[in-house]
This record gives sequence, C-alpha cells and structure tokens, in this order.
Amino acid sequence: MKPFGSRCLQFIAARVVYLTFLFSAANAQAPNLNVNLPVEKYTLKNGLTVLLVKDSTIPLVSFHTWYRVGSRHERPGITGAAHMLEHMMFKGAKKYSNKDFDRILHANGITNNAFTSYDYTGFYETLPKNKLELIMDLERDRLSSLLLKPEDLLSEKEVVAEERRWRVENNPQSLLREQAMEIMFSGHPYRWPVIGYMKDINDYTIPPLRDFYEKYYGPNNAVLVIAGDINIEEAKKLVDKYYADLPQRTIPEEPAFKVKALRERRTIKLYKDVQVPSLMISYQSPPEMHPDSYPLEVLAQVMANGVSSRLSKELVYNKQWATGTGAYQWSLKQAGLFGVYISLKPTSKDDDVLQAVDREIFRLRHQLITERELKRAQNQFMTSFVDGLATQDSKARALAAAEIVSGDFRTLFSDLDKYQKVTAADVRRVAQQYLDSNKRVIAWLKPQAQAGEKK
Amino acid sequence: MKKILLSILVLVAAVSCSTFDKTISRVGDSNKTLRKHRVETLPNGLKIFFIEDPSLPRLSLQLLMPVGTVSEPQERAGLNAMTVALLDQGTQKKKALEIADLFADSGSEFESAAGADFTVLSTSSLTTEFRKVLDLFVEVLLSPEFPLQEIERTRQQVLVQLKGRQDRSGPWADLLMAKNYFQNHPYGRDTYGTPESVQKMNREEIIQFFKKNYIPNGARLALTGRLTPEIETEVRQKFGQWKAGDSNLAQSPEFKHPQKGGVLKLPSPHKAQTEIRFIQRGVSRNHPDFLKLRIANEILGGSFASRLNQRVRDDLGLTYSIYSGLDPKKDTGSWIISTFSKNPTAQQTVDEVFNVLKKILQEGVSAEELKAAKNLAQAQFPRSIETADRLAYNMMALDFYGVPLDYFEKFSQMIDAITLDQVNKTIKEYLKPDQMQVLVYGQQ
Repeated sequence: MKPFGSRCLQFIAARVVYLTFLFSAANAQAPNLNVNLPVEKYTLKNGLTVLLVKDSTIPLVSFHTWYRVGSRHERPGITGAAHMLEHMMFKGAKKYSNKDFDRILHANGITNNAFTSYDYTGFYETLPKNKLELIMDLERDRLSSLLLKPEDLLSEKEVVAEERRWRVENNPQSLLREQAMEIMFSGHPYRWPVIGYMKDINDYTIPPLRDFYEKYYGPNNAVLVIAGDINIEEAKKLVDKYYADLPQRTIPEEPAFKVKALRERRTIKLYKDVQVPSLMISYQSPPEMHPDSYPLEVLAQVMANGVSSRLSKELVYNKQWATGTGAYQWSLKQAGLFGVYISLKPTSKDDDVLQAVDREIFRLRHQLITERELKRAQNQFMTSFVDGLATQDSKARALAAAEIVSGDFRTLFSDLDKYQKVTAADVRRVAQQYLDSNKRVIAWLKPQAQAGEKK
Repeated sequence: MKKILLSILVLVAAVSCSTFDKTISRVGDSNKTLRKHRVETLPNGLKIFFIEDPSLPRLSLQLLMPVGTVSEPQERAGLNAMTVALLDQGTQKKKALEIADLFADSGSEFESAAGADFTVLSTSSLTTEFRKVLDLFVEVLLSPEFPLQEIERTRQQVLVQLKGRQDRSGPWADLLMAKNYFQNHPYGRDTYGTPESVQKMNREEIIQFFKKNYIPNGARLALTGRLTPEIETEVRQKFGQWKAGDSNLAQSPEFKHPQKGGVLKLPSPHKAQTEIRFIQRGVSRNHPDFLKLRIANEILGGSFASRLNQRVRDDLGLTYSIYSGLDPKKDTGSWIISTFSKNPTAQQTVDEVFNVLKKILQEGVSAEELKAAKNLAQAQFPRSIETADRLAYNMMALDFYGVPLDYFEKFSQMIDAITLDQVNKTIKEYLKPDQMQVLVYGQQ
C-alpha cells in the first residue's frame, strides 16, 4: 500500500476562493464588519481534498487531516473501533515506529493530537513552518502503511479502557448520556458511544481494525487543511510530492440506517455517587444541513443558554431550583438531537422542575419569541463565529469541519447567513414540530442516597 | 455568566511553551512576531496595555486585579469569589437580570475568574457593540450594589456548587491534593471557600472587601483588538473615573514546604478509577530557576514523548493520561504529577512513577532530550502570544508576577542559554521523591 512510483499530479478542479464577508451589523447605522479569510481549495486526482490558508501571524502551521469515518461506520461487537484505530495511528507505520513518531515530533518542536467523533476522525499537529515536509512524510507513512502490531494493540487496549473509565464509568453524567442515546438513536449506529463499550474494547483484535483502516483511510476519504505561515505554491508542491501517488480506496457503500422514531415518553433514573442531581431532556431532531437545524439552534439559545435565557431566569434566578441550564441542537450527519440540560439543587422537586420546563416549552410552541430575543441570539452566533477564527488552529478546525460535513467549506460562512435569516415564526414552528412532550427521553441523575425515596 | 477563563490555560502554555522560529525572529526583529502594543499608566495608577489586532472585527477588555484567596482572612475563605460573583448582580442603576440581558443583547457576557493570587474580569464583543459593552463593564466594576437578596441567592448557588465538587473525581482530587499539601495556607483553599465560611459572609464584609481591594492602583487592564484612537480615549476616560485607594494590600502568608513525604489514601468505594496526584516544592514564577525547571519538567512529563508518558502510558498501558507540571505562584510554587488508573493497578502506577523519578535523578537527562525539550519550548512559544488576547493576558500575568516584559523578546535566548549541566543540577536540587505528598483517591 505504500506509494509506488510517482504519478503526475493532476487537479480535478483547481480554484481559488477568496472570501470576503460583509456582515450587516445589528445596528443598521453601524459600519459593516469585515472578515477576510482567503482559502484555496483543490482536489487531487486520487480524491484528496486540500484546503490551504495563509496566516502569517506567527511562524507556525496548523496541519489537520480529517477522515470521513467515525463510530457510525462500526457495527455491534466492534463498537469503538474507529476510536481504537485512531489510537493505533500513533503506534507506528513502516517508516516511523511508535517511539520514533513521538520522539521525532517532539525533537522538531511539533505538538500533536487526534479525536474521533460519530462521523469523522481528525489528526492534527502544530509545527514550525519549516517542518511542513516532515509532517507530510509522517502523515503519509501512517496513511499508507500502518503497522497495527498485535503487541501494540495489547497495551493500547488498556489505555483506551482507562480512557473509557475516565470518561464514562467514573463520570455519572456520561453514563446517563450513554443510556439516553441508546434510546434516542435506536436502530442507528449513533446509539452506541464513540469510545465503544468496555466489552468490545477488551475484545478488539487486529483483523477488524485492519479492515477498518483499509476501507476508510484513503486519500479520497480525507480532507487536508493546512493553515498558517505557508507559501501556497510551495505547500502545493509538497502536497503533490507526498500525497498525489497514493492510491484511491474503494469506500464501501453504507447501509441505510434509520433512527427509529420515538413514539413515547421515556424516563430514566440513574442513582449514582453524586451530591448534585441533574436532568437531561432529549428530543429527536433533524441532521446537519437540514434547514430546521438553524431555527432549532436559535431556539436552544433563547430557551436555555446563558444567564439571560428563559430557563435560566426561571429556574436559576426566580425559582432557585437549579444552578445552571443549557440547550443545544446537536446535528450529526444522519440524525439530530435537541437536548435540554439542567443542573439542579438537591432540594428541587422533580415534578416542579419538569412542569416549569414544560411551561416554557408550551410558550415557545404557541407564542413568538420577542424581536429582542431573536436579535440577541443572532448577535451571539455572530460573536462566536468571529471568535472562532482567532487562531491558525481554530481556522483550520472550522474549515475542516465545514468541508467534511457539507463537502463545501463555504457553508461555514453561508451558515452564518442562515442564522441571520431565521424568523420568530420559524422558531415557533420548529418548537411545535420537534418539542413534543410525548416523544422524548427524560433522564435524571440522582444521588445514591435518594434511591429508596419516591420521586 | 461566570466561567473560568480559557486564558488561564494559555498562561500555563505560555510559560511551559516557548519562542520564535529561529529563521524568523530573534531579539532584533521581535516586532515582526510581537503585536504592536503600548503600556500607559493613568493618574489613578491603573496600568493599561493597548494591543492591536486588526484582523477581526472585535474588541476585548481584560482586567487583572491583584486580589485572590491570598487577600482573604482565613475564616472568610471564598470572600473574593463571592464578591466577584456579585459584581454583575446589580448596580446603583440596574438590576441583575437587566445587566445579563444587556450583555447578551450585544452577543457578549461578563466573565470572571477568581484565583489564588489574582482575579481576572473580562468581556469582549464585535466592534459595533463594544461601546455598550464597555459602559456596562465599567458600571459593573465601579458601582456594584451587592443587594441583599442577590447575596442570598448567590450564597445558595455557591453552597450547592461546593457540595457538587466531589461529583467530578479529577478536579476534586486536585482540590484534595492542594488542601493536603498547603493545609491552611490560602493556596490549599477552594476559591469558593467552605460551606462554613460562605454561610458567615455578610453584606458589610463584602462591601468592605470590595472597597479595599478593587482599586485601580496595582491593577492591570488590557484593551485588545481592532483599536481606534476614539475607543482608546474612551477607555482612558471611563477607567480614569475609578478612584485610587490605599494600595497597602494583604500579602500572601509565607508557606513552608513540608520536608517529609507521605501517602494519603482516601477511599471512595463507588469510584471506577483511582485518581493519583504527586506534589512537591516548586518555585515562584519570577524565580531564576524557573525556565530550567520548565525544561526539566518538559522531559519528565510535559508531552507525549516525556519519560512519564512513554513509560506509564505507552509501555505499560496503566493510564490514559499522565503529565507533570509546574504551578508557579507569586511567592512560591509547586511541582505536580497527575494521573489516574483502574483501582487494581493504582499502587503499581504509584510505584512506576517513583521508578521514573528515581531513574531521572540517577541518570540525569541526555543532551538529545535537552535539545528536543528546548526545541519544543521555542517552537511552540508563539502560540501563547498568537492572539492579542493571549498576549495581553500573558503580559499582565507576567508583569504581576514580577517578570520583566522583555521576556517575550528574550525567551528564545534564555532557552538557548540553558545547558545540560544546569538542567541536571536543577533536577538534583529540586526533584525530591522522598518529600512528595502522594494522594490516592479511589477504591482502595
């Protein structure tokens, strides 16, 4: 699988997209906000998508390689395989061994890490600008000739088991979430956790991991984003040199999983070693890029995010039953979830809290949010968008996410426009459509001491 | 909205990481890397850092107050955090929710992080909203009302938060470690105090604490972002109204580091994993040995390639995370190792950490390890000054700690100057496994 000979690089499409965005500010008289983010995007003949961004603020480069593979591509019995493979990507390939990899990065002033999600897996490094060629050599090595040695898997399984204990077993919030997700995404691979179940972690063997690697770790399944103090032409030449001759993979067709529609109200109560209870309410909602996901995000903001949100004012400030509230539209590639989260006081009464939440939801379903609430949410989105472009790494991350989710990084900017176009009527409509009190999962985390008490 | 500033982490990065790519900027052309900045002191004693970043349409304010748990009387532990939490809960003209709404209208929020040595108050917004946000920030800072009902409300919130501390094993273990090591010194305290001390605070004490400590002389303010002369003038004017006070503030009590090591085992029967901490003497941020210790720490446990990580995680699979780090404070500091392991291998993990410590003490570090650590420190340094906000935070913090501000320009040189002999001597002088306090928190 290591590249053979050099094939001439050809671009399927080479284009430069310079984006200059003029935000119309909240106040019509205010001057326009001007953000300039020049991005050059092209695709190699083997299907590798490349995004280049020049940002010479500091003499470093943020190098991101994201693959379109995540826990969604697993099956029962090998849950967590995508994440396990992510770990194994650091355990050595043909040219650079495990110990070499860490040592060489370190000696060259490079920091690195990786992550796995439901839909994709990302690897990233921050390097001095003169180390671009080195990092491509390292990334190419593990993309084309990963070793996957059984003895490495043995110790790395222990590491991942510790990671799971740390994230889940020893973290009751995560345990509760895991139980709720199994119901919310019933029928779909999203129902299991990205890190996988402990039994599967203990049982991993090399063949399914190798199978995963060979199926999904191909240039045509990857997005490369290089943001930083680069010379665009030189970067292109290096990409050509290190990636152009890598063969395409045949990415298997995905079975069409569908989330089973929730038709009832389910309640989970988890009693654990905690002092402070909490509540998580989940509704099924649309996936990424769905037009309704934008008003749902506005809805989440108005409903529970920040001290000026409705639930915070009612539950934290007025009633003093809670210490914090939050809500989110969580959009995955093939499904979504609208969640409301409340951190409670130990003295709060379940019924009171739930009724208060439902009163707010009733209002959101039947009355328009105010113009002020809408504008506020839109300002918050705009601010966090701008804040999110502050560093080389955050730019690379935002672009990689947008590109891998939508196939076009420009959605990063057009999405902003979509938030600005949401109306109060849209918000009411999505509240009516998705926040159905008879189709939701209500999950409580409670102190062990209350296990014997009635609710 | 209260949240811990991300920039706290940045300081750690700034201090642990390091300088400029050699091909680009050395001392002579530091302007190329360091953003344009100016420092002024107002007549009331407030030091203002103006730092430009025209790249994005935003502006931000960060105010570093030399006030922290060290400023509180022992029996009123948490008084500073309580005071800070109440700042945006009502002013002479506005009520709590009105303030919350106005910040939110501008897509902004009032943020605060009360710490041991200092406290940071901050806000930011798009340029178009900044005047409103600036007005609010100054109002909250200069005329908080501390209404009784808000004090009660906040007190109840804090009590629940203190109760919930142990729900998260890692942060709880950090607190237990600090408490066990620093005992009654303010560095051993939860920033929010104890349920007993929080119960006792009254409005008069809070107001007195605020009046005495929240004064411009000795404070540092940073205005960063897309600056204009008008905005700068407005900031000078608004903060110029702040009345100076008696700058004779409470000093941190002296701390004597324990000479004897020990293991504290705190059983917690329901834990699926054991949290493990090691702590010993470190140095203050402006100590001459600080950077040498940084480099030594880098080799010991500062990265994936470090000795601790390579041995305990990579070879033995005992943990998902292990690192060591310096926690420098104003007058002293500590050196910490943090990890966790499943309950049955907790003791083995402790033993293996000690083995790594013994080995590094016996053999010292190699020239190759030193070179790598220095490279990493120098190469990654620019990240800590990448944004105007990070640069501002780090400048203010270092200035507070008494580190000369040419640090940013001289960093690379200072790292270059560190020799193998110095690092090995530093390790021998400071690393004291037999003086370490170990905390083991989990099923036993």
